[in-house]
Amino acid sequence: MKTSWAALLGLMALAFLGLFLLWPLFQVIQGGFIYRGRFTIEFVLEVFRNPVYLEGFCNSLAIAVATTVLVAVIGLPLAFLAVRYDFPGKSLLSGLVLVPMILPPFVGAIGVSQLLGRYGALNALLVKLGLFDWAGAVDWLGAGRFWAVAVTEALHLYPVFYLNAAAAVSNVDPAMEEAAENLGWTGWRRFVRITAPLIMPGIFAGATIVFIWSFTELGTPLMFDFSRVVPVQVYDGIKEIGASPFPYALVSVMLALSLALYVAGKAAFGRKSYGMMAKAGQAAVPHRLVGWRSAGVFCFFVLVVAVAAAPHFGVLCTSLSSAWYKSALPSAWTGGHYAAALGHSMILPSIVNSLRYSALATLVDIVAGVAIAYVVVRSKLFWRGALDALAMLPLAAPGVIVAFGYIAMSQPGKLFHFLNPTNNPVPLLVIAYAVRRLPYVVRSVAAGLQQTSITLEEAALNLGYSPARAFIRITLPLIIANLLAGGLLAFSFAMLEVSDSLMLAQKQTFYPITKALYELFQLLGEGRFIASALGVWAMAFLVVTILGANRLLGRKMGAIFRV
Amino acid sequence: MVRAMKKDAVAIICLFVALAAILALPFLLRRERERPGAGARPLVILSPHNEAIRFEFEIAFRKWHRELYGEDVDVDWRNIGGTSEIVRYIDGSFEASDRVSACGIGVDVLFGGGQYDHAQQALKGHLEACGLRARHPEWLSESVIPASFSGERFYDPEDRWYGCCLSEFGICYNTDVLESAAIARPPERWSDLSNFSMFGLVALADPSKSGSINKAFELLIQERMMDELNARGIDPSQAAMSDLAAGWEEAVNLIRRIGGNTRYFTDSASKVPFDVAQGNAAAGMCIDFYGRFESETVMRNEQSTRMKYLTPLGGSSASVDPISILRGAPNRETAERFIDFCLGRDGQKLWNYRVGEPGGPVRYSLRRMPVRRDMYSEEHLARMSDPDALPYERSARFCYKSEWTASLFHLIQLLVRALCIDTHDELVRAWRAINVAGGAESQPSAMRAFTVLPPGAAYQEALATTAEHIKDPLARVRVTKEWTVFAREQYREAARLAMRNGSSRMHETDATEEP
Repeated sequence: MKTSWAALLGLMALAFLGLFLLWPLFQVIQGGFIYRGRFTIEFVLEVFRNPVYLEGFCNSLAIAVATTVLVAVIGLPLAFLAVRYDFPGKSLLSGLVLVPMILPPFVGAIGVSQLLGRYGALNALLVKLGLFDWAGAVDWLGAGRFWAVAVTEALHLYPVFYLNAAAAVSNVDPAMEEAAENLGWTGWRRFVRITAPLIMPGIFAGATIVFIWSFTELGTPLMFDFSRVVPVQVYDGIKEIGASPFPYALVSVMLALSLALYVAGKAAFGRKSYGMMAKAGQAAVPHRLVGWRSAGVFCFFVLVVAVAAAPHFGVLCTSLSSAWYKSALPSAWTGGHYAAALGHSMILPSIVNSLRYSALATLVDIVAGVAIAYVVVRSKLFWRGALDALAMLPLAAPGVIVAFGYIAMSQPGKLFHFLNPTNNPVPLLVIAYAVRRLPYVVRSVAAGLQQTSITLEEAALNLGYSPARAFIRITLPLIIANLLAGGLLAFSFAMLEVSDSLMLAQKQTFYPITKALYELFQLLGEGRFIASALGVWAMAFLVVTILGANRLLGRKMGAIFRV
Repeated sequence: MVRAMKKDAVAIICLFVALAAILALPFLLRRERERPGAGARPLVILSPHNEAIRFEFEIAFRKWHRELYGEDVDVDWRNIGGTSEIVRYIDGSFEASDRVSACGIGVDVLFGGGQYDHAQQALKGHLEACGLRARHPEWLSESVIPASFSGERFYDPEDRWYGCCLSEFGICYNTDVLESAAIARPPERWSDLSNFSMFGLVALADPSKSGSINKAFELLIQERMMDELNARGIDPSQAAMSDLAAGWEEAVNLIRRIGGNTRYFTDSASKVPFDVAQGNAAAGMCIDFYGRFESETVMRNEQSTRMKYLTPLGGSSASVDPISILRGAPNRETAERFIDFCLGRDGQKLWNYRVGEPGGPVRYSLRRMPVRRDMYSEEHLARMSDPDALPYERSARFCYKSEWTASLFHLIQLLVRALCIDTHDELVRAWRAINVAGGAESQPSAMRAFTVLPPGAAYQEALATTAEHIKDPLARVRVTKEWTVFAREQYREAARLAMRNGSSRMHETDATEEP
């Protein structure tokens, strides 16, 4: 890749991230470095002097490691089986395994609470089976909180890993494995020596996102009241009355540590990659499984989906219940919450708004993500590593901090005053969604590029193609599966974006669906039921979209979406 | 091949039909809301109040305005989250507008949030006088809106904010869970939450996140100080510093013991009553209307009376959710009219009238208590959802003494955070160890370690120096750390002593039982 071309693309990406990520973050975080009008690092030092915060960092790190390992244990076999084998129900199941990542905010915790609460569904079932009585009911939400958080996060995040791993597996040139087999390397040996190195970019992409996500995840630890982790400590500090600079210092340390962990992870696992000449051009034919093998794989998929979708089931039952207490299923059912939720005057516009914002944000992500990934993988620019790390930063930045930053930078008299969200938040919302979901596209496309030999593009250049045309005509079709995987993640998570939606969309006309969900959730009494109904609607929409994409794209691409 | 293609086509058609059905649902069920026409007067309101309150006040205010002034109002609600987000938004916006010498932030009214937040905004110069004192002096009397009640201010003497509705803090509990835990008597006072039989079953609101909740903890402390004076036969008006110090220490230890029983401290006002109703906690501290609402929901949906709410008699004051006009309000006249409406009888009826009552809400029952005292007459009570709540009677027994603890407001917040929230794991372990080993009375050495106050937190020292010292942000961070580390060590020591004493007691018992 020509250096000048790469430098131009890279600088544009840097400018985008600098203006819409670093600048808003700086607007807020600088407060952690100012004391009596002067610069200080005293607040940062206090983070390291307080054992409670140090313990918070250790716990967060341990949760991130445990979650990533669990996600790999679940996601890698699923990806392999989905790409390499045919089995009954594969078409539906390979789409359904993605469903757990779509858990609407606010109501997800209610779903878990209804299932795992002291008087919840699981205990009701166990009491009914005679294993104990109500006085001895297990407090599932309060017991073993570390593993409860790690397992819940793993069940929520494995689709992120699965999508990236599946893209990587489907990109493997079957000739490589056949050659290995001809040389006598089969089974595990072939996997370790040939397949694993070839799919490492995809594994790294998925694992990195999961690792940083779980390191900075707020919702799940809050759900299990596990407060000694950094994201909860940051949240507690930010929400505290009487503004203190300390939480901003804590955020700075968290961001720096996230970046350091990413760079260390990349140095350890992400450097080696092997481009393949015939990547995805000649897809391996899936083996048809029969008998007990087929049944076993089928059961594995069903089991993972059933366990991971349990909170979704909890939300679904809540949305249809008027009474659910001390019983495995609701004791009284109603459809009235759907009429109340979907009939509300703010819902229809909010659905249209969310689709508009998320689609535009995904488009921005695809353009910016491809540009960044291309520069990071294909160029030799010395600062490409910094650009790569910067593109991962949105995963670690707490949503509420970024949202405050956007508001601060668009105030009258500031550089971006014309983006002030008071009267029209659409540009800022689209930018906010795009920036926060950019890492999915960058990682996914970068993984695809690492697996694709540059020689194909060079051949096109030799034949007289311009760099842009060579990329669009040659490379882009080869990484389309990765692009779709990243785009799908970006779109789904943009639809469920919380912090920016709550703070930037101030007028009802501009509410996205998550803000409408929040508004319904705030209603006393029936609010949580009505919000659950809207949450189920959002889940149903995204599930059908994912299954549809799975089905439509599968036939065309012959890659990961082939079902 | 053809069969596979057919199968594919069927699947794709099914998915399209499903997608069309999902998208059609909101269109089919949509209920249109009447929008004001062109030429309506604009009014911009910033509010943490929920959709139900916003809906009812918008409908009723527009109707009232049309009838009185012959014009419609286009209410532009600005909603950016909870009170803490709103406070940051206002501060940041005024900072920016002051920089460019703009006179306001384009918002007229701040509606809702706690009295603490409005008072802080007034201090920062973000509010301006509403003019209500001049327009309706007859409302500002003991029989309508008292200047203060149970020690709480109900409006600003400088006319910048006015309380609109009342809230109290109380205890919600689940009789089912109490029965399972063999707790015969339901909690009636804050101290009942410290009983070890409630271990792991208490849900508490986090005082560091809300001025109102911090106030509730302050009231709990004052209740304990008063009890201590009564126990010693000391007249509160004659109490010396040392007399109050004993009550202060008792109160801090009570908070610690309740903290030891607590599952979590939450900033989500609705989480506590929901968890209690669902049986995840036996009892919890919550705002009155949240407790009452949850109780009614359980009753209506499940015909169950398991969920109860009570305001401890003499244990809570009544505080207000105010309304105010922001500096540089672009629609000042309409803003004044909105305040007049909210504090007049028409607005006050919305807070607690049943849905459908003349002058009451049209869709949502709000279950809040009006601030106007004259609303608690028989005529109005007969139309109210909660005629028994009577905050002016229930809170009358409590008399808040600002000179005792008002200057310790931030110190209490910091103390609870260091002693209970940041050190919750160690606190719970120590409290369990002490009780497993026989209880507080049989473990004096462990209790001494458990209850010792951190440096600078004794009453006299706190009042004289620490409260002032922690106003500096860096000092505050350092004191928090110092207290946190101190409490952690003390709790660990208490747990170690209790376990050692407990096991030696067990050995002694074993030895005496051996033949």
